[in-house]
Amino acid sequence: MAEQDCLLKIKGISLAFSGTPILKSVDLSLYQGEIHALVGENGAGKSSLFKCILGIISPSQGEIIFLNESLSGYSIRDILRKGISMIHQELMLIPELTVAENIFLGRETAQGKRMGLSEINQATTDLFREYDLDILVGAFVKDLSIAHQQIIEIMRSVSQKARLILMDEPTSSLTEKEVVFFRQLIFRLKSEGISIVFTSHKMDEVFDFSDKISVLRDGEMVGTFSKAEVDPMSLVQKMVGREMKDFYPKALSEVGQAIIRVNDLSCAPHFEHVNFTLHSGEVLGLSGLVGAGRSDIGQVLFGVKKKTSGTMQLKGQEYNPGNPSEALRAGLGYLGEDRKEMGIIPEMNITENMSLGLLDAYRKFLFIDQEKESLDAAEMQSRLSVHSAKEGQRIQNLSGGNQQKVLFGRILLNNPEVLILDEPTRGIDVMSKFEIYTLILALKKQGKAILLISSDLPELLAMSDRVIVISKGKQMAELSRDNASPEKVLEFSLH
Amino acid sequence: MKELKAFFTKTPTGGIFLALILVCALFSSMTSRFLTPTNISVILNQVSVNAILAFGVTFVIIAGGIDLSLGSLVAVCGVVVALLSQNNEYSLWLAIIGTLIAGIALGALNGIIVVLTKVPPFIVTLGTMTIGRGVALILSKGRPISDLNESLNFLGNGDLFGIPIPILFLVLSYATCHILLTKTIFGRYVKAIGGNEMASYVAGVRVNRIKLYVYMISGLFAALAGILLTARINTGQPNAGLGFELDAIAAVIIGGTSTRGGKGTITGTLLGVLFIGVINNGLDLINVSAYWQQVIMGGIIILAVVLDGLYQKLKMNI
Repeated sequence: MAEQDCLLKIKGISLAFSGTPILKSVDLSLYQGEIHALVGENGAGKSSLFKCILGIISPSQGEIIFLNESLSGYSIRDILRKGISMIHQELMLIPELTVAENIFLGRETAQGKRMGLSEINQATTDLFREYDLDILVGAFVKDLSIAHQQIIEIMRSVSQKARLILMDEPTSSLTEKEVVFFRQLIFRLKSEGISIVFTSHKMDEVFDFSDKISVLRDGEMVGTFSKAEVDPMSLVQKMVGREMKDFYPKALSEVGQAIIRVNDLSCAPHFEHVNFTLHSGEVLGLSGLVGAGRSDIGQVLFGVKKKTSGTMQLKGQEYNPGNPSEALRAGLGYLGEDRKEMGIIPEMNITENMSLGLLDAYRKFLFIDQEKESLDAAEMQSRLSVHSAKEGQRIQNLSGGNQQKVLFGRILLNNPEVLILDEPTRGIDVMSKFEIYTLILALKKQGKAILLISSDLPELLAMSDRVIVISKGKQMAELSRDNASPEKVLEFSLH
Repeated sequence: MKELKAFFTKTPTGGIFLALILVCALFSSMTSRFLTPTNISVILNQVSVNAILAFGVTFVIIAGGIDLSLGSLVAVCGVVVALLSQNNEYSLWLAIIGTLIAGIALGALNGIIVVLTKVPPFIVTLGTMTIGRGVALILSKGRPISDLNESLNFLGNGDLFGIPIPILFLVLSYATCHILLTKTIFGRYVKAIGGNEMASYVAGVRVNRIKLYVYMISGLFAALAGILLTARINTGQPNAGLGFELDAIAAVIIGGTSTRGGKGTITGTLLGVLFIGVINNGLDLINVSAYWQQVIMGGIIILAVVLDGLYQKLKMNI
């Protein structure tokens, strides 16, 4: 295609957060009226790329050219006016306003004169008629289905004269029927010359919708492909195909007796009919996409969420923790998926963060035996090599890796038999990752039973003795170490 | 000198302490009647009720909540202790213990509603504030209750070894609350749930129980304040304690406790209480009209918090 048809050209943009590279010299060209799929694992850099295009974050290097003009230095509002908009995964509508009010939100003045409610309604009705949409313009957005809300967002972009619409997993919360309608709508937009970039984990949609497919892996652009050049299998390989080398320490140990048995466990609406057994000295991996229900399984085991049916057994005894405190006393340890939300108390220091929830062990009448507490915490700190600049430092001032090690310290202080680790290495540096892998294997050798939940497929496959794949709340497969390949796991999780 | 600098820069209460000294210096330069033993005793006596309320509500605020029902609880408990000690029907001890239990129970009611309904504590205690006022009026049939036990009067106006009893209660309450917050498991967990409730819960902290306890503590100290107030004026007044919750909360915030929870000290609260008390007293002494006092006081509260924010930033760079 000729250069002048090029709508958006991304030239070598790089981005790093506190030393960790997020995007590494990414190139991408997009033409008018093109539907372009952007695929990659969680954390590959898809959303960061979107944010760069929208001007929410500015890349440290490189350039983004839209309609032959560099976007650097423009604000989010300017870029929106130039014709780039985004449909976020969490929809950004105001529930208490009507459909028409949402579509014209912030733009009630047209050509310098204020639009009244009736004009807004009329304009919206005209727009909907043009696109054959059967949605009441006066309805409140809170009363609409997710699919309709998404259409409202898309129509808002259209009415803003968007030339390029970015969509972050647009079909993730749509039913099959709604996806069919969504497909019609984006093809209609395409026919009008509007370009669309969307992300998806669903291979069938990627191949059905798109003209071109770009693959991101670890912040690098693997390449842009036409549908003829790739098939679903080879695309998945491009997404995951990093070299594993010896990054993951190896330790094979005897798997012991069953510690936890889960029978037909359900927690509506997150997951249903899950069955597995976790043995001592075993690392059992739980794989699946974000939101597939794998984190919820860990949370039910630790009493954070309540099961809706099924049974759990701990060493042959009926087990149903009413809250995390009970799970803790039963001998479980839990590391939450989101360190900031479920892990650290930012204002507290390392010692206080480690002993949180465990202070009954340091009770002297009503008081805390602070001497013993600091002693134990200091010992744990050196065992896990938590680096802190000074004594009594607040945990919020530590690096992510050190924060995570403190949280491991909290778990280990209680000496649990079962560890549930949800994303233990998310957002931490490579060295800390390696230390945590070594620690996990040491615990496995000690005979701890470990449930490992991770989005990092190579990590999960290297660390786990067995892998259970969860998709949309259902247990799709159980694969042994020898049987589990990235392609197989991804295929089941995209099912 | 080094220690002094460390005190002002390292301790969280250094800023308000500095402000308090400045205000005291200002008033003593304006009037010779300010810095006298008698006046200091007067100030401490005047602030004792607010101090006791503020100590209790500090726990609630550090835990991330708020208690607007304090003033009404003071009224209810003031009326209860008056009824129990009317005409020497019961012994003074029974009256006091009964009232303290009533305060704890009313605090527990706040706590239970907050924990069970998940309605924001601002709304819950706004409701119980109105309910409490009504209950005080019902119990007293809308009239002041007099003819109280003689020894109750002693609690409000007497002294022990030359120290007024309310000041002794202030010191005792300070010590208890300070130790409770800094040395006990409970105190640690109060800060933890204010700092990150979800993380505390997942770590095994019984969040609901701790929340219930902080409102009970707030109720207990409101009851103590109610008893002292009734003892001081020698009558149970259903309209007593109007707006007391705002003075107490203001003192807590001036004392450096974060309204978002997670951090704060009882010493800070004490300094906040003294700061407000000193300004009220000083303005009286230099004959500023009561109307203007309110305007000045409001301005100072805002100024104190703004300056503290700047000071905390500055402190980082020292």
